[in-house]
Amino acid sequence: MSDTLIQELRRVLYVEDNPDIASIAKLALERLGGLEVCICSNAEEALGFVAKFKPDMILLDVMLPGMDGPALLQQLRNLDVCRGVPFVFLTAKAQASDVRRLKALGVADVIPKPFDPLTLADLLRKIWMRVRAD
Amino acid sequence: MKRVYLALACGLALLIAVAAVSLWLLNLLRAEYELSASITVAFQQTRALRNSVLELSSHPVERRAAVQVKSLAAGKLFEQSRQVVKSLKNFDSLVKSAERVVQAVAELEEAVAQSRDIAAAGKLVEDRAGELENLLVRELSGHQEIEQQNQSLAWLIIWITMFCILLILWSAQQIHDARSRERMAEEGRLKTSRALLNQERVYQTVVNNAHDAFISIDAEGKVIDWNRQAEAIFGWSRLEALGLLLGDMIIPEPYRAAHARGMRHYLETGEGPVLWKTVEIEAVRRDGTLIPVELTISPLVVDGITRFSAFLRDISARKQIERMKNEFVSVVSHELRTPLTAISGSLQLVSAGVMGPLPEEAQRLVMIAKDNSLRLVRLVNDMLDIERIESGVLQFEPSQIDVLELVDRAVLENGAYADRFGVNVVVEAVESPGTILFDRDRLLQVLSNLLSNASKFSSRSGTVRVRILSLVLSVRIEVIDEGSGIPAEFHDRIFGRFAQADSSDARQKEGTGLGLSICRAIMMRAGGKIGFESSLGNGSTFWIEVKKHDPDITDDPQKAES
Repeated sequence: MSDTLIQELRRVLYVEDNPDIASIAKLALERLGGLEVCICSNAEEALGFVAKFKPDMILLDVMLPGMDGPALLQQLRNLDVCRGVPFVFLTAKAQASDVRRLKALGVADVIPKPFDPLTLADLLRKIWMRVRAD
Repeated sequence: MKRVYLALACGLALLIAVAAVSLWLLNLLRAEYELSASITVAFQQTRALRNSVLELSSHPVERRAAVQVKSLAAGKLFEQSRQVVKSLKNFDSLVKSAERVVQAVAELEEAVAQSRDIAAAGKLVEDRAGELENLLVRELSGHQEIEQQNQSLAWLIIWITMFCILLILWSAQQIHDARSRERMAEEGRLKTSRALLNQERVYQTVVNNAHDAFISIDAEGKVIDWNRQAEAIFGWSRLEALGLLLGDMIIPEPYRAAHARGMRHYLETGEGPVLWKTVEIEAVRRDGTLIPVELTISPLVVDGITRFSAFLRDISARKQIERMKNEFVSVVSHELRTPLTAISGSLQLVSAGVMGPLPEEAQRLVMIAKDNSLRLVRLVNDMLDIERIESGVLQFEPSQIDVLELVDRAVLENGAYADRFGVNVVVEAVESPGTILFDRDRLLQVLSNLLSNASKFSSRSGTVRVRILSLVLSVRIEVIDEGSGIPAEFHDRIFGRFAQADSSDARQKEGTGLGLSICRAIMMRAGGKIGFESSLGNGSTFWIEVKKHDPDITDDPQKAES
């Protein structure tokens, strides 16, 4: 996997039920970050799309209709296509205790909402580099 | 008191005895008087007889009849006296003498009758009568002596009687006094018991009308008091509850052993860590449902008997409100942040020109909207912070902190902000301020807040100094600015919420007015201190003090709090 060190972050899957936030994130990451972004509005959609889209990184909202973020995380991890893919939570419940609890699930990072759309892509790349370096 | 009654009895007995003696003496006196009277009469008769005989000798014939009569009378009187005077000492000799007189008179009468020489017979009568007279006189003087003795006896009796009367009066007075004292004491007792009864009624009224349940138990844990609220909250009536073991009633199974242990421990050692403190605990109602209660237990020892009393408050409603508040905080956290994310995100993208350039005026308006949306985000964050710190939801995670390193970090993080105001930040540190035990992120938050305030309110190209002082037990960090200072009338409100000195000050837009309020909440919760000195025109010094950390001391209060 020596080529993974130089592999760039290109494709990001974002599971978010709020269409406004989803479109802002998509705009910011695509226009400013030059990333390819796939938005899924719930867990089922994400589980259906993930194999087709083959993301380099998956962003998860915590509160989702039906299956929530942490539950979806467990489901996705079991898939072959997600092996080695870093997960990042984006959450409005960003109290220290929540962040700790989410990090304990083994995700690469937790980004509190509201996020800065101008620096979001850079932030994801930093996380990507850190995970790759490990 | 016994002695007084004894004295009274003695007095009465003596008085009765004296009365009896007096009666006897009176009798005796009367008899004696009569006797004396008889003797006197006898004496007079005898003298009369003698005189008659003397007259007879001078007028023998004429007085014959008279002598006869008189001698008869004398004999008769004497007979009469004899009846009375039998008790006389010299009765026999008196009688004999009297008989001899009678005999002599008889002889005289005979001599007169036979017209013999009466001189010898008269002389005989005279002599005999003289003898009798002498005897009688002697007898009389003897009786005078007795009379005198009796008189002294009478005086004695009078004195004794007076003494008895005094004794009786004295004991009566004593008894009366004692009685009235007793009555007064009885009245006092009555008054006291009435007062006690009233007190008991006041106590019962207070206890029964208390808003909280009031329960008392004895040293065995049996219920001895149970007010109306206790009836209402727990479902047992007072009569049902009295005498039951509290442990079997309202204490949930898991706490029963601890309850018994705690009571035993107190009875043995006099120590009770939960006593006199307000504790929150769960209690069971009669129907088995659990309710949260807040209670304060206090022991009371009266006459060596220990009892425990507790006021219990059903805090279900408060707990419900707390839950609702927490939920509200959570909802605000999520529901406000979600639209704010969308608004601020959109505005940031638009204002950054991601969607292409905007007309100048539109760009200005979008910038205003963006700045205010970001301010709103800060406001929500600060509001949540302060609620969580004050409600204790926020857990502090103390760790060992190198003060110097932390201050440098805070200054570094604040660097960009200070630059905006053209402010130079200088750190003045002692050589080794040492380490402290504190929640690193929270202390950083406090320092950042103080630094940003200092930067914001400094004059352009001014200097903000951060001074670190090592005190005996604590480390003091001072943030000193050269700004316009804080007006005195604002000093009291400086740590309040939404507090800003001058609302017309354009710089207020930078903050939420919650920064110092959060700082204080953090310092209070973590056992530190915060304060300031300032005067208008001379800048301000905000300081915090945190206890030094000594790794050798294990029972550090902050560690204990964590």
